[in-house]
Amino acid sequence: MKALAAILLLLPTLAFAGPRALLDHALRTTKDASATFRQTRTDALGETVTDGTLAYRKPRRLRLEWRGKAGATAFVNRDTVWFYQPGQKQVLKSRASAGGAPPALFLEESVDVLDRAYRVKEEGATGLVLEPRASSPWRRMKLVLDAKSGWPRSLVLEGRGGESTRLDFGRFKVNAGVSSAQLAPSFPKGTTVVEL
Amino acid sequence: MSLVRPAGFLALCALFLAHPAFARTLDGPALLDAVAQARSARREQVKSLRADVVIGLTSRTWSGTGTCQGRIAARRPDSLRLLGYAAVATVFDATTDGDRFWIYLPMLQRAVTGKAEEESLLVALPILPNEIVDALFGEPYGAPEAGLRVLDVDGTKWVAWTLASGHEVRARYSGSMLLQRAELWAGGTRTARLDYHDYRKRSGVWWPTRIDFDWPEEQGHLSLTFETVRFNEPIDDKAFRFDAPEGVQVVPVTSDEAFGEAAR
Repeated sequence: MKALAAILLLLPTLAFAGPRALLDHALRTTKDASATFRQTRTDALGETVTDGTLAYRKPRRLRLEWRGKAGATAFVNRDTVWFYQPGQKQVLKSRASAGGAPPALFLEESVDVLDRAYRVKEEGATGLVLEPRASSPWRRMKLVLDAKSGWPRSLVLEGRGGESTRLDFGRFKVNAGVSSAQLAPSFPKGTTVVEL
Repeated sequence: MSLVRPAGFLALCALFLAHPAFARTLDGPALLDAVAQARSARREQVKSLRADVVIGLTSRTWSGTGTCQGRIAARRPDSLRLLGYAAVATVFDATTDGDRFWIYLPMLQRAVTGKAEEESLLVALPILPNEIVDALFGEPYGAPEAGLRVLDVDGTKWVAWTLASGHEVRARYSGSMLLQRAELWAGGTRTARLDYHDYRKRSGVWWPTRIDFDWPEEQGHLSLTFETVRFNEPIDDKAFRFDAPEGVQVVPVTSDEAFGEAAR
């Protein structure tokens, strides 16, 4: 009962403290999380929509899976990413930080950790804008947070070429358990791993 | 209970065994006329297209096969935009207006530009942007101007013509005049091949599900697998022009640069 009262007291405090504190609290109190997403890519030739799922476990272990005809799965473990394309029976393995996107999106242990690589600015009551400190192919990442949970409702990644990728998340399931097996890069026999 | 009575079964067998009407064999002037009509109809029917594609690229210069999702826009006679992306990142953005090409590689924060005919220096495949456009619009390696003739290769009728470069193009059509395969020959050597797979009717247009480009000598391959295709929608001229993003270095490709040197 005391714990419930404490949480009830804490929630408005976090919201009042702003989006930075809201996300920080969500990241710090999370061991694992999962969600569905709808990805909308917009570029010079129009829009492409793909559905997918995200699974995360602290620290920086991530699985992103895109469905559809050109389905793919990305596994991130610290600074290594495996990009698996079942249609090609091929995995591209590289350093996550060498790719064209934030290595683990926003999924770090805290906002302080995000601060090391990005300038984190607040935008309104629930918005955060992350700009890479180092030279990068993407210009900024915008997060709109759920005012209660602190988890993003949407993420927009803006590229330097004018293209953008928007992820609209379903409700995040937090600390409900994400198995190691789910996050371990494993591929069917006969899959070729190409190291970049 | 038999679903197909004997007479019906025989009729079905006859349908499968006989040459279907669309696969009738034409020869000589009749075949050349039919091909000319099919090309002319195609020119009227498809002037531009936009499509979601899966792009596959293989070259002996690279390790592994590159595959990514993409979007393509093409407009006659030689405008093309091809964007490749994987996960949440853009892999490449290639643009040509027929005269020049630009390939923007976001991960390297560089764009490489040159005359359209120099693109092969960069991608390590003897691929010309206008050849992709020609292939998309069913006029492989360029429209025939004169000298159309019929070749008989092992009992199969091909239509052939000679390009200004002296290369010979050989094209094989289905009985319904849909392009199945085209080959580019230099003397007695086949230097390139195009295959059109599994035509489906999309928005009233018979369109291949996949086009394969092969270059045997270079062991190179490009495939475009079409998901959605839309025809003759207005495409802004801006789609075929590349404006370098702020901070992106634009590097000219030169003839003494091997694959990738300009991109590094």
